[in-house]
Amino acid sequence: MTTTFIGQPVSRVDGRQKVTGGATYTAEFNQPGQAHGAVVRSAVANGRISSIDTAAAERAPGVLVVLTHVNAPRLAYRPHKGAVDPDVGERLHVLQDDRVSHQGQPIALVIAETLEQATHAATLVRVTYASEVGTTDVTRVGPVPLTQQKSDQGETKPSETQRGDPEAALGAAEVRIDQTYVIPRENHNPIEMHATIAAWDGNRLTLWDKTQWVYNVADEIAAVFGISAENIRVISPFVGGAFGSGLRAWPHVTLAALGARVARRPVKLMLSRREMYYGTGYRPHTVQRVGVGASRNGRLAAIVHDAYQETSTYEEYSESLVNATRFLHSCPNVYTRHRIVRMNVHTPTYMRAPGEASGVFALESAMDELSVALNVDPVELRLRNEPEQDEFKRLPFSSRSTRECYRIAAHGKAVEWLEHVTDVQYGAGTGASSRNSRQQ
Amino acid sequence: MHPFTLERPRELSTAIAFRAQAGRNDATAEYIAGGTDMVQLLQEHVRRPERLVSLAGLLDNRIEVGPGGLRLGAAATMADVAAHPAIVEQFPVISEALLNSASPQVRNQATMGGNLLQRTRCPYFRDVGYAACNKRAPGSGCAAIGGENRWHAVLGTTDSCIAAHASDLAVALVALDAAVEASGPRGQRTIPLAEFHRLPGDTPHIETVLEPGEVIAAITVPASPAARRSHYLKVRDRASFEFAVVSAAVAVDLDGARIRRAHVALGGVGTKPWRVPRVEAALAGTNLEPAALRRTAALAAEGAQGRGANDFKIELMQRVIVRAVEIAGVRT
Amino acid sequence: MERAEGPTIAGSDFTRRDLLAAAAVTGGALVGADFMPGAAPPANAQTTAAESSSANVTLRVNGAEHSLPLDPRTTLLDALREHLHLNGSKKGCGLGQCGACTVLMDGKRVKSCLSLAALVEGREITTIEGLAQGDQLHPLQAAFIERDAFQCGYCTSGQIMAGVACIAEGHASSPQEIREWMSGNICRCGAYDNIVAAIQDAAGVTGPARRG
Repeated sequence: MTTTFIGQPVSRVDGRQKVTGGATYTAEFNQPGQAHGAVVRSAVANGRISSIDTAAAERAPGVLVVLTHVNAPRLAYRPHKGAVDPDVGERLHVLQDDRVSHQGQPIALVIAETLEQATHAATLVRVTYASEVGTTDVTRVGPVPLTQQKSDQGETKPSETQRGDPEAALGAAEVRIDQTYVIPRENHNPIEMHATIAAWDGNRLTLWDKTQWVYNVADEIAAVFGISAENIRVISPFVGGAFGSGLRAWPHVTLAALGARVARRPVKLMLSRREMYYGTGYRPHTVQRVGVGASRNGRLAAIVHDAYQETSTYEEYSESLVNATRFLHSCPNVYTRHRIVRMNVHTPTYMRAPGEASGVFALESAMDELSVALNVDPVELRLRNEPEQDEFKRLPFSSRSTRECYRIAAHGKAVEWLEHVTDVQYGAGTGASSRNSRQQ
Repeated sequence: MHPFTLERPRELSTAIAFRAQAGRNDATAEYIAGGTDMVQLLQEHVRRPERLVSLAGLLDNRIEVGPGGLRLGAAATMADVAAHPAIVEQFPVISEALLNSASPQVRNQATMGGNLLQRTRCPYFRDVGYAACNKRAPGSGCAAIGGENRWHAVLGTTDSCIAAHASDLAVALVALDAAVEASGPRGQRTIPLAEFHRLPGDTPHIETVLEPGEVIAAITVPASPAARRSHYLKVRDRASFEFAVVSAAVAVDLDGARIRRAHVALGGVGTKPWRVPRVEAALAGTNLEPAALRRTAALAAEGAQGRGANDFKIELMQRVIVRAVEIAGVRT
Repeated sequence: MERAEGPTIAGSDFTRRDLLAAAAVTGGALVGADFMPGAAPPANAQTTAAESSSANVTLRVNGAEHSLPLDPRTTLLDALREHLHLNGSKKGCGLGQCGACTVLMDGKRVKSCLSLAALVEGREITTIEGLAQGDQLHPLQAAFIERDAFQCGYCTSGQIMAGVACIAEGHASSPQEIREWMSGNICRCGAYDNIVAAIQDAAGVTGPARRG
């Protein structure tokens, strides 16, 4: 039997559902007897909760449960790290103590009969804080080294590498670019807000959850509640965009399950758009110094790529900002360093090509600027510096098709495409990129 | 939203009576018409009335164009006004201001009256997580001064408030000497639009001269030779569905290439829609020559005060005036 | 403030008895599902805000009438989703900025998250569920599939409802016009080019359509 679909333009199998409103997303799996959750979030970035007064919220119409660190059941929080959870650090323990680590941290949960009642009651919770100075400005905190991390194969992932004498070579180069590239934080902001519906049946839990990874949600929630993952079923047939934000099980998932457990009702919890900035990760703010030096014939003499990104105080997130710099172009003197800035923010996470999207942008921007300084065609500049092997690992590439990519792009395809997009004139630049992917 | 009682009165006088009880600071009763701003304010807990009084069906929604000028019923929608052929032809700056506002959906719901009464987009006003907002909580301070103030006003500001007025329509109307017809517990009155919105002074929470209970019933715009030759130029961070960084409404009455009379008002830069009579006076008699336009536009900057991130608006608004006058000037 | 100890949730150990015990220990008023708050009003109650009492609201949606007891705070969007279980209209922001909630009201496109349900009685509301005629898709729905004008599909309902109106208004005569007149709908997956193409197709306009 031959497949007749590969290479053919085929409509999406879920097309009809999506254009008729028939695709069911997380918050639409309404359960009988369902109640609604609303989260109260800290107004300060750092410190402790001195007092939290829930009396008015509890008295508000329709309210079933108000949970804070004062009365919330103790959760097991067994160790668990999903594949994208940072190796170093410990995830936030929701409603388990009075510590505040970032603005927007969940500090209370209201469960009420209706959405309007829950969101209103949440505004009635009165909190006082013993707040400490919070660091949220990446320009005001010094970067520090990453804790040593290991790859899946057990190799130490170096946070600083060097071949040759890059700073000296950069200083001595005939033409040189030395710039700092700053990319502000970017939030995933999928158009569907994160949401969870939690329903217990005895000790079995069903979660309808907006996630990119149902098994990880089951494993994480099982660890949080100290129950077996086999008792948790996670359902997510349609996801309204996630772009990486659905790779971790964030605090609101725990809150929905906890609220459902205490209220003994299924609970629906959908984050507001504002809340999407406070607890589902983001691409971190990065600051990258890139120095590229070359001789007048366009041969690279030195690359310096010194980058740092923000992370929380409780987890050490890192992404591969400088990895591609080690092998993308041929250069005898290369320095890379990757550091972090710990701040009173919530932990970043993977967002669409994490690491390379930011890191290669900086490197290739510097290369573009170098091509202008050299008065060399930007594609030609890359071709003149095509490596014959991975000069960092000193291993041959099993395959590498950058020359072919440059050829295709340079011979008009990219420009054709650009012209068809719109009649507005855009500036164009040239960049190469590379991204790791696992082969197993 | 905080709980409220929804009133759906059948008579305008009933609605006015509900609202008149609330007092000037309108804390306990708010009107709702199209709802495109009010629902946002309710959802974000910026407004927490105990009573919401619907004006649906109570206000005039007619659009009348005659030799004396234009009369817009307060309930006429932005979409209907923008598309009205007589307005497109005779008062293009009004149509352009509306088409440059909001989105098609919002324009179908939003009304003339509501547009003039919309609240500022200042992010500190709109986020109750910030305690310091004199407009929302009198006496609490102003977080925008010394904070993120790129979107804020450079004209008409005080140390109490630097929030910019958000309406494009109001800028076009004030340029054309519009007036507001108001109905209230003490009857009808006519208020020139230029006097309708108040400067913040030290009471930024009081934004208009409306008395408790008063509603906007209609907006009138006198006919003028300049109105046909008018243009609304809006500079903003996105090409559509975004508020103004700086905008200008311009109308010119020409005698050949010479400006007989000019109307100029600015948006995005004032704490209220900002007419610039000094620029208008200086434009009279000029001939659209770029250097002359540049010199007269500079008069708009008098008294302008940037607060850091919005300093660029002082230069930008002069350029916007020049460009808007040039465009209006070549209109046939 | 001392941290209160309470029972842990661990398998079958956790019972309602533990919950009430925790409440006694902490002194916090932990409200379970078996009794309603406010049934025993506290003697020292401060004035709480007035309760939003429900009133019957009659909504005409896709040609059918529904009478619902609704909290006056209920938006049209939440009435459709939470009460009528017409989940085709989506909540993407709740503040009228994304367009995912777009429906037709008396044939005109509006943002249902900015409408209070109680104020739209008597209006003809059309949602995405009311567009197709049985199995027969509306031409714009078919065009969206044909042009692959979506990825995740969450903005799609709003895009289609806005697109139907855009065409009916006569604002679909060129890609530039479509982009301007569809600016009230955003797509985080970035399907804009194909959305524009689909609207052009459905509008019956031939022109410099996008390849692929």
